[in-house]
Amino acid sequence: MRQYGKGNLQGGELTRTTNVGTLFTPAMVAASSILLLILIGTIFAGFLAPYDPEAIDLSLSYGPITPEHILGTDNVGRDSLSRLLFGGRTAITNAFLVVGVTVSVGIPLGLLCGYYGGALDGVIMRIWDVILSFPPLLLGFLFVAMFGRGSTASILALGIAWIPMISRLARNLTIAERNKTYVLAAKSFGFSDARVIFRHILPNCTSTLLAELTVDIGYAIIVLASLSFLGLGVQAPTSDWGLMLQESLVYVRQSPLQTVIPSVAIGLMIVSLNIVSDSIQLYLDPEQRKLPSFERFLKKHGTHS
Amino acid sequence: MTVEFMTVRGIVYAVQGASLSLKQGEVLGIVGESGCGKSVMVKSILRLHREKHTRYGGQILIEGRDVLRLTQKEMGIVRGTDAGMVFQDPMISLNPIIKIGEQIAETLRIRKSMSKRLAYDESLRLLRQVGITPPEDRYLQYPFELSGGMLQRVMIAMAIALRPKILIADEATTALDVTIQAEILALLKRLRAERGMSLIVVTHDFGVVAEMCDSVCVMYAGEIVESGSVERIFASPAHPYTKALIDSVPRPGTHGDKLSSIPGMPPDLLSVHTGCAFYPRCSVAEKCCETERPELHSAGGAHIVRCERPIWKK
Amino acid sequence: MEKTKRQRSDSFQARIRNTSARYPRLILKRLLVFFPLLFAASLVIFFSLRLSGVDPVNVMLGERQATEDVIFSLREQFHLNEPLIAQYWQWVKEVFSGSFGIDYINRQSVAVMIGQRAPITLGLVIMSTTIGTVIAVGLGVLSAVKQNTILDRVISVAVLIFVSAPSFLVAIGTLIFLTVFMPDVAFTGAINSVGDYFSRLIMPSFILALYMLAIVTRVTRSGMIIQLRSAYATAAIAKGLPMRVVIWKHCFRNAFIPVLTIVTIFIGAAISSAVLVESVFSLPGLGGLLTQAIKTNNYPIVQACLFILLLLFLSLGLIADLIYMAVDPRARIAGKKVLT
Repeated sequence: MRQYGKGNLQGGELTRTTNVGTLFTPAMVAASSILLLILIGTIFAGFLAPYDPEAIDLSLSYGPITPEHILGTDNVGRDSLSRLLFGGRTAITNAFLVVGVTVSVGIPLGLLCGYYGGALDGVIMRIWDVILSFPPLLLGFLFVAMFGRGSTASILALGIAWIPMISRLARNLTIAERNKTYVLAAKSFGFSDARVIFRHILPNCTSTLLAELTVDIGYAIIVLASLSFLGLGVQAPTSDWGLMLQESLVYVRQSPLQTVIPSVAIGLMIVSLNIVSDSIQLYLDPEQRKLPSFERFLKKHGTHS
Repeated sequence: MTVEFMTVRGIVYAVQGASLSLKQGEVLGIVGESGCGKSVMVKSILRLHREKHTRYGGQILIEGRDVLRLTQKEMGIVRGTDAGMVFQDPMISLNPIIKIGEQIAETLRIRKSMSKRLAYDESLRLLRQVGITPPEDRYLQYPFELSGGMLQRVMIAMAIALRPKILIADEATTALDVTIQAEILALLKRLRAERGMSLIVVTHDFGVVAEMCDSVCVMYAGEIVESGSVERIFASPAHPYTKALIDSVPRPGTHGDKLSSIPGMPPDLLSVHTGCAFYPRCSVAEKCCETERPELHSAGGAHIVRCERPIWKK
Repeated sequence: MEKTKRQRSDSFQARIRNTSARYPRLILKRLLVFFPLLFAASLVIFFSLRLSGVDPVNVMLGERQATEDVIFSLREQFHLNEPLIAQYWQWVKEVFSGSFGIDYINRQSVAVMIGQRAPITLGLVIMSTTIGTVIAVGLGVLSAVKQNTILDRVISVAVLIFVSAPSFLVAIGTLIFLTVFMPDVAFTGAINSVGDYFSRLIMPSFILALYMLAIVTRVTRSGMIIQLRSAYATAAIAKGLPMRVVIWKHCFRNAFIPVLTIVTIFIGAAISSAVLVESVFSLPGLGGLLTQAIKTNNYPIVQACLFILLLLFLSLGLIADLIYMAVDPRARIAGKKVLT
């Protein structure tokens, strides 16, 4: 039988203010620290890397792990740690560039289509339908074939290939916002269309767009690495994770370690990115949030019964 | 009985110390505002809450058997045969991608091991009984092809397919138009008479209670604050909340008068309240009501009220 | 008495048949979308390659020197002196005749080259899609039903890892594992028999399936959780159906609708990844042919490969849509998807 004394009133207040479940799950903490480490490592690659990542020393071909070369050396004797750090810099920068290209064209286009609608919207969306009927990597191949090989070409190719997705998202969000009261109010003040679109509508779409773009960064890293791996992206001798994979896989029987290093780097990066974006999404959706059992909850917050 | 839920915001004390009983063939009304625990209570009869985050207390007896002590497998037999249930919104309570006839027939096939043909015939009979014509055509339609009133009839046919002893109508008419509401209520009344079932009608509308019920329970903040026969409670409501609810129902002949309403909102069930739950909104409250929890008092015979300052004392 | 019973039986049968009467017309409608899309895509493939500004004659000649006459006759032979529209029309005719033209470097029939390699890629895509969907649906339903138990947790973690791991990384991981721990396993060399075909393809198919498996498991799980909490599921439990029926007949059929949409999308990913996985396991599929052709600007092969892969993608999407219409009666009425 429950009692209704003073102590239990406190219990009631406790449960009211407690937000059960936390954003900082162990997985989230681990993943964000890994991401932070990778970012620091690649940003300060110039200071941290012990050697020039492109310095060839054939006498050190497939060097083992030694105090001088912590991760060994590759087929032409380049220091793997240095190449890993600089390779990360290439991979991450390129991924951001891809997203940059997508955003700078896709979002304004989406906003305009959503805001004005009409023939412009109709035509552009039909074009996107056709482009989106291609599987993403195939479109990448097509654009690489069009622009030629190399890192600039692959960044452009992917950036363009992803424009339809993001601009369609921006368009749909704009259409949802377009008829809301605050937009009508802004219009009634006589603000210009450009001001309404970029100062009023865009800020209300950013959270959704940002969530999408975070995922896209991880995806861009994978696809860029795939292109380099197939020899269509970043070209030797630049350090790049995808390229390291391609170069080492040929000699995988002689030195599996050299393949393991970039695989682990890419894998860790992607897994961490996913865990972070996932944890945030789960936390924001109470329906999905994990709840402790009755027994555990009561043990933690004291019993009422 | 008590029902408590675990949620992201803490434990919800949905139903506390509620107690009610039902005789065979009786029609019981459960009345209260939204969020008072009416639905939670009747859903507990069939144990429809997610077991993992729900804690039941007390007992629910159907013919002497406590459903709260049964295994899941035994529950499967209780559901449908001991008690059937009709839900609030028929639009979402029927599976959108299965033909409505099939949704009736499957129960018969699985639970009564009927053959396909027998179940089909029996489903048509049930559809006809709840007033759906022509049943052969309706049998093959999907829920999105029927109106809300029709769907509620189908829900009723589903609920009575296994000839339950109790039929629970959980706000069964709330989502419907007024004219359809009356039809559904008439249907429920007719079926109860034909089949000798007991009926539990959950509603927030005292008009429905007056129309349908023999006895009534008024719920507030997860507690039963008043119960008794319909005539008795309408004639002399004892709890101020009951009186306020009855006064807020429009009546013929009082045209032009201002309808009264109850100020404020029902309390948040996340915390346990001390004193009377209705205190903040009560028009006749006194100081002691804030701190002292009211006990159940008899107001004559089976008429029970949970109030220290019941209206009849004045 | 006898007669009325038979009559009723006839109408029973007739009505059951009658519900699917609208289906053929909808298939036709869906095909009317399929072909224009294929046509538009072929335009994109053909003209974006011509935009690159690479002169096919240079590709054909490579490092060799040639006289004006030779160059002119090459242009004649490959219709390069005609306007682009005519060249496109020429290609369309080649596609319909099944020859796909002649490649620029080896001067071989493109159709023959593709014919040798397509079975590998097709096999990979179809096998991995099937494996991925079937296992994922099982796992997804299981973890939704056992939500927040240890089993669900284990499945969720495994799924998270495989969602994050791109197929080709997993492929490389497997390859490393094999070379280090089982150096005797052969995964290169010619494919001579049907047995060879399956034994070489089964592992890459599994690897390829993992990514899709992870995503589909996740979508199935969250879809099932929503469906299990829906009002109709509660109603189905309340009318006394066993959980097994509520889960599979009621909830799963509803949860499967978005799953189907996701599968369609991930067929595209499977096709893309197949190209990479082939390359890791040195399987002689379309991927190697395509990348090699891109590197050498060998456009007849590039456009043929892209076209074939796209045809595969769109066809599988078409099949998925037809299943979709069969599952969801609302789609049959409206003739369009509720989702997407």
